[in-house]
Amino acid sequence: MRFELANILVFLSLAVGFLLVTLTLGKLLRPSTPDHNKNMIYECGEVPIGQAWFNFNPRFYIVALVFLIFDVEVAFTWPVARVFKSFVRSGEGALAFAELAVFVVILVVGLAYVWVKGDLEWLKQIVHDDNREPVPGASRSEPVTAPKEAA
Amino acid sequence: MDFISMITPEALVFFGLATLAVAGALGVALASNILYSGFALMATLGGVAGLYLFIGLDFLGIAQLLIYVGGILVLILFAVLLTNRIGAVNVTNVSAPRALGGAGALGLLGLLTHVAVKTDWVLTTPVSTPTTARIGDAFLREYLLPFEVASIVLLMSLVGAMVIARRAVRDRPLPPVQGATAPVDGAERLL
Amino acid sequence: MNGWKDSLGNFDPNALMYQLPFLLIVGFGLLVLVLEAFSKGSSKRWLMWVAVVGIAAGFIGAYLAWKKLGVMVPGDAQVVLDIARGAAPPSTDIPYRELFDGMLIFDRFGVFMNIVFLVGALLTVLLVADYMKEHGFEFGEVFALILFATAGMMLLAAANDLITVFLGLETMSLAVYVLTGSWRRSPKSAEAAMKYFLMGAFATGLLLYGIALIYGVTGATNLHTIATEAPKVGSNPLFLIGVFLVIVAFGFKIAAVPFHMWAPDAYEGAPTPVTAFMAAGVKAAAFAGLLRFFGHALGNERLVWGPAGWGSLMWLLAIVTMTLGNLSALRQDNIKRMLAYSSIAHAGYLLIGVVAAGFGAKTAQPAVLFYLLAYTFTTIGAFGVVAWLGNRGDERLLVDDWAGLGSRHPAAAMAMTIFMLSLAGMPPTAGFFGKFYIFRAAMEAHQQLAGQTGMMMALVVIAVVNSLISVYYYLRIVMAMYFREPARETSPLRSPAVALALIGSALFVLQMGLLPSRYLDMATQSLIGR
Repeated sequence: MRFELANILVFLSLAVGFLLVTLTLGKLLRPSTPDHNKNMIYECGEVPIGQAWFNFNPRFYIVALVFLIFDVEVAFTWPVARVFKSFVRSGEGALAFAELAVFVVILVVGLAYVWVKGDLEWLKQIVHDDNREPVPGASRSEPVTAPKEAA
Repeated sequence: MDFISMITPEALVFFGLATLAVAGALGVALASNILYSGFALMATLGGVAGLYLFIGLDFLGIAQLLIYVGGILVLILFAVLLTNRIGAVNVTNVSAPRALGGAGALGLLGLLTHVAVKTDWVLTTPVSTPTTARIGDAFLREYLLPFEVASIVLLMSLVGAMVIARRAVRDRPLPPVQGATAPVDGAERLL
Repeated sequence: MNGWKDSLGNFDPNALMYQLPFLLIVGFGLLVLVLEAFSKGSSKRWLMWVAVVGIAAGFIGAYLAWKKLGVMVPGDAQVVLDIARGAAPPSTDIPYRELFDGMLIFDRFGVFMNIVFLVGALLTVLLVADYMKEHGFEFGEVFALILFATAGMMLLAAANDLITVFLGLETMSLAVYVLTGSWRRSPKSAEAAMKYFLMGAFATGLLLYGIALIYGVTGATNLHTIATEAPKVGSNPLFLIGVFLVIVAFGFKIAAVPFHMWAPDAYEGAPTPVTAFMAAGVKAAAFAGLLRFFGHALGNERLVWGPAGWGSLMWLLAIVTMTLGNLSALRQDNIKRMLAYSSIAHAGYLLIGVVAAGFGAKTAQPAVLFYLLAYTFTTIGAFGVVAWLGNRGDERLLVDDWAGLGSRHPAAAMAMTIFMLSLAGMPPTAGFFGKFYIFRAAMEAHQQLAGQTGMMMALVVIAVVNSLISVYYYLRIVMAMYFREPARETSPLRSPAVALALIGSALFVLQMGLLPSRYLDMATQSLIGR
């Protein structure tokens, strides 16, 4: 089959099959005596507080977003990097370089923008440009940041 | 053509992947919990990546896994998880009854299947060579413009998303600090 | 070693001249972004002037491209040069130049549309800065987003390939989604952005599906190749579904009637200058794409008419859009919503032009171009007056809020009157000639059909009736301004930039109404090449 992708398929089915077989075997062999402590959510030995459904810090989202943009950038530049040498050999190196440079420079502007704006920093002063009252309990996922004047 | 001879290994792989993709899509549409919808999307995206690999598009398949499963899906899950009071959204729009929507979807399915079966498709034999170099060549030659414009689109989505998401960070109320002036450390830094 | 120039292969840097407006706008967009990030100070209002300089540079670029695409004379040096470089000899006497392996086409049609977009961007930039300041949500990226959206529109207007159509549409739409939701503290703005984004993403999906089906049948995404292939495959159901999906996708973008439900909410919730930009620029860009793909590439009579023709579908869309848009506008007390429905109705009138162009009516393309230019000045002007009147926390959007404006602010009331007359299509304003040229083009199409069918005639009659209906709700505002007692105090924006935008667009609306021939001449020279 094509590019020996079938190999991957075989590996994939082996891995899935291995899991299925061992888990089923274990289920059949082991005794089942559940109690309250065993059923508790495993959180490194800590007693879990509250529910798993709480608001995550939006900064996760921002970092994931920046990651995604540059992930896509890599997906675009990878094939170009693959053929770059053949362009140089055929005497069109400057063309390929210029084309790739334009692509990258435009995205570097984006990188510079998020960097200077401080979006890549994890901890930063939370600017409070809004008169809403603090919501009690909202600090669950929020870093406790010292107010500037206190620091 | 008898049915048994149609069951080739290739057909099995194809229908396996197609089932994965369609089942995932159904899961996205029908799951009652939006987080489960997000996870079901993984099956769809993975199935589609498998289909790409199946027809010999190695680069596209890997890129699909990297970007969609590894990136966009994570982003969607984050978006769900950081949405405030997502369970308490009051939907005021009137939605069509399920029967009507189902009938519409089935009708569309019938039409598209009918057309797809009727059409004389131009068949090409799959090329069994890696595609990365050909894609790179196309990016630098006939698809140069889309390639360059893609960077503008990416830049703009970065800036646009920052404009909206950053303000979400800023608009969040300051947590109640009880005279705490010590620098933050330890586990709290992680969240 | 090879010289630097040789290693560029067969890439011709001269060709970038045609693309100058686009390149300048993108460049200034990047510049605004960098300046925004690296400048100190909280107010980024001065970036407005950077954007204005960029747009001015774009106008100069458009002027140069216009000159370069001048009417061809035999033995024209430029054309000879192009052919020597391997460009195919032009099949018509309309000068054009293809770039990027046929991805883009440059002709005066594209340049004219560029001018329309630049006008829209300029007016929006002038309006938006002080509006944001008044309502307390200033951010500098807005100017970069407006410039990038304009660049997307330019791409769409120059698209000669469905892939470029898609890219242009996406570039434009992404920026406008963000602009719509940029007023973070207004729940209506968030709702508007949400609806606009969901509907827009849905439309994009349909467009891609349509493109895929068309590619599946014709084996091409290039508009010119599709045009030559289409008559052979025109009755293939796959092709018809593909074309149908593309029409639906564009229907969403221009807010034609069954696909318009997002428009009133999105227009009402977005910051008013952004609404103006959406109503003028986005719509104009989508119509440029429609004219290129349907009015020109698929302008084959067998594809246009008949039960499965795209023209019949658009004919129906035009009627429903005009009628429902106008009837819904009658009942609105909120001016932004009323203008939103009016904008839907105008999409209906413009669709008449696209259908007429599909029949090969020679006057149809210039008529649509003239209409789009007139409409851009008029509608941004009208939304501009709305933006000018509001204060923080009090947008003054109800018709009652406008009572007595004529005695308090005679100049603004006069400008609004001009815009309303123009939207209603009454002389001596630009809107009158816009409608007149569209109807004339439809009558030309009617004559070309040689009485086979009275459909085009019916379209014109319905459009005239609709224009008469629309007079009522436009004049309602004028009546409120002049014949009612002032209800409350007004303290409109004190901003020279906004005043400049309003006075400028009012003057242009009047000039296009009094001396339309200059603009019509320009539009007549702006035909789609190839």
